[in-house]
Amino acid sequence: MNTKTLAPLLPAAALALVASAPAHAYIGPGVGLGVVGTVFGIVATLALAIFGFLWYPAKRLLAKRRAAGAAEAPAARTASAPEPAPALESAAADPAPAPAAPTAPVDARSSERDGA
Amino acid sequence: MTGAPDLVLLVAGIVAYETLVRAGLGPVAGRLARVGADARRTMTSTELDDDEKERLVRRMTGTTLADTLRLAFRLALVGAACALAIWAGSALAGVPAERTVARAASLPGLLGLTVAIACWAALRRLLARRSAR
Repeated sequence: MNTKTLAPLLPAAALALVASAPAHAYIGPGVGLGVVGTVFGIVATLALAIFGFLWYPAKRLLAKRRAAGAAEAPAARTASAPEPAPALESAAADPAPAPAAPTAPVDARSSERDGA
Repeated sequence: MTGAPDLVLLVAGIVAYETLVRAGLGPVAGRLARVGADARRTMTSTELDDDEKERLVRRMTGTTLADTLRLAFRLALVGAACALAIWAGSALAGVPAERTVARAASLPGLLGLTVAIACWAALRRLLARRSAR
């Protein structure tokens, strides 16, 4: 805040000081500091309770969910792609049928040549 | 400070001061003043894992709540001791409590009581030093 902003507030503050009536509510420094300390203690307790009983359990829960999601993702990926796996298995189990197809015409051609 | 209300006020002030000193407010207030820094250090620590931080923060919550209640209770005890002295002055010496309270809130009453308590504290310290020798 610069002086231009504060300037209109000064007369108002002076007027408030002059016009204020005595409160007849003196609080000594001992009681005042004690009240401030107690209020600070209540605020600190609330803040610590929020962190200790809400923030860390929520963080742990989120981390657990994230870990579970990360573990489910590869399983879902393998489950959603079952087609290439049997093809590879059949190819590994019986490689003979694949080259058998081109040999038939060769044989036929050779039999034709033989017949001719 | 002259008259019976002043005497009652003086006794009440000394009783309140003695209760304040004997209540041991210093360590409790010190712990409460340090709790913010301690909590920040714990929560931003890179050496502790989250479970350890949670356990420590929960323990700090309990000790802070206990210290706050202890502080409030001891302050109430100081106020009660002061009120008891004023009530005793009213009951035993016939000095109305309203007059004593009005005197306590006046500027001469405040200044006189402050000087009197300062003298009492100095005397107390002197006596304690002598007895330690």
